[in-house]
Amino acid sequence: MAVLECKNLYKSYKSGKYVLADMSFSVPSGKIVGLLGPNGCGKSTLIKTVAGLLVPTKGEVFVDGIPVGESTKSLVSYLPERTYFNSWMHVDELVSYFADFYADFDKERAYQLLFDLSIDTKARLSTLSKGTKEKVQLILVMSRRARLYLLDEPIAGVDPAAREYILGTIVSNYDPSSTIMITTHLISDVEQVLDEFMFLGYGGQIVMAGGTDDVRAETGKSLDALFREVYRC
Amino acid sequence: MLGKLLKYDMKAVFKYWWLAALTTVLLSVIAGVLLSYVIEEDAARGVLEEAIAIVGLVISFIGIFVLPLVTEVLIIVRLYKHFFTDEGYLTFTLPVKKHALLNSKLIMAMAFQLAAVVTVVMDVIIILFVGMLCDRIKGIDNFSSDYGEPLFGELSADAWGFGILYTAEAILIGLAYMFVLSMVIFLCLTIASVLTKKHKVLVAIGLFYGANAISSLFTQIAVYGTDLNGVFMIFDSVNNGVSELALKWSVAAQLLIPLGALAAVGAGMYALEYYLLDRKLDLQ
Repeated sequence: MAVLECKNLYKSYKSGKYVLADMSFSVPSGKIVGLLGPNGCGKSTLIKTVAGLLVPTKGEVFVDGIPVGESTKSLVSYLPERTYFNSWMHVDELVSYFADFYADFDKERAYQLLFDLSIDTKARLSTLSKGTKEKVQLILVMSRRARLYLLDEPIAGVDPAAREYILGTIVSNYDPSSTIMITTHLISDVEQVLDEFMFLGYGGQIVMAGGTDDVRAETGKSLDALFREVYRC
Repeated sequence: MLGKLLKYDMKAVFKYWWLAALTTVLLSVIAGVLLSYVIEEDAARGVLEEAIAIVGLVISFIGIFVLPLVTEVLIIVRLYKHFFTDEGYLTFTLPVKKHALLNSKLIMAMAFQLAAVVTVVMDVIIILFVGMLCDRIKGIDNFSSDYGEPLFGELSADAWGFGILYTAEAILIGLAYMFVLSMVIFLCLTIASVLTKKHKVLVAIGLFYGANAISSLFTQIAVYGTDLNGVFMIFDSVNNGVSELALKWSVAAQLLIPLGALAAVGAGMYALEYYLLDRKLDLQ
């Protein structure tokens, strides 16, 4: 069964212009999928719709065969592109917060990852740097045993060394029965970990999709090179 | 899950609220001392001393009675940040029902509004108590005879009479009013967040004052349009005397009609709020 399935999905905001238009696809379990495309092509909109933050204008979205709603939120672990934690909370309070609300949260794993990165668990979030905040967010999100991980620009705001650690964390902490969907502009950095990719075009449709190994075998190009070719200005 | 949500909501507001409440308690002690000083008739003091005391008294009173306003601001900040800023990404991806999210905020808002009213009442009692204590230390009884005895005397004389009835009525209507007030605030913020991306708070304030103006108009119409005493006076004039049953109905109606109206309005707003959060709010 597909972990994520979209059927004829449309989404428009107040302007009436469709950000996502007639989008249909399914993602099986055990895959790391890159959702790629230029700015404003609807990557974050798609992720937010799957996370249940946006209401689709038309169409249906299923996670593990269940229509997106209150019951799918326990199956999805979502990392937004910005800092979304209450800044007055301490890191260990955030760990307790996740443990309180998510039955699949692994507290020990979270503390181990925080320790690995030398993050002070007694520190208030507002005192941490932007990069450290993003690391804390990623650690908490990846410490869940979710069916579907939605990571919106997880490496955008961090230095190259931290990027490597973050990608390593993503790969080493995910259960092969679950699926990860990552959006990013830093294709060359994530290319190595992606099993599949989807290129989104303006107008909210899938321009190209497939396996990353297939692209390399068939075209002899890296995903990054193919992206530059497809979206050449 | 409601309990867990409530724990974090209460903690977030209490973190600042207790400081405001404690400040009003301290101000009420100062107000009690100053009030005793100001009403002391035979004291020898200059104009400047008296002016300072009066200004201090006024500031203390303003400080005390501003607590309900501070409470509302804290409630609004909590709701706004938790629902309509980036924190909403976490709030609305928690595996909890939207009813639980809304109920938690509602219970938190009503609990703090009630706590603010109780604190202000306590502050008034502290002012009286401190004032009487100061009098006793000075060996005079100005304060007790001017404020303490009339108030407490009247209260104790009527403690088991209509005083209890009207207190119960005031508490019930007060709770229903708090429910409606919370829902008006929630709804204004939600509508503003659904309608606009920027200046949500300004739009919410505009909506709040608009809603206030409309509700005042309806309240006036309701008060003049359903003058129950007038209805029962007509009833009485037909019967040539006050029927006991009519009096009981009159008292009951004075409680139940506003209570029912507030509950109905609040329930309607709750349903609209839920619909907007569930179907119309897009966190972009």
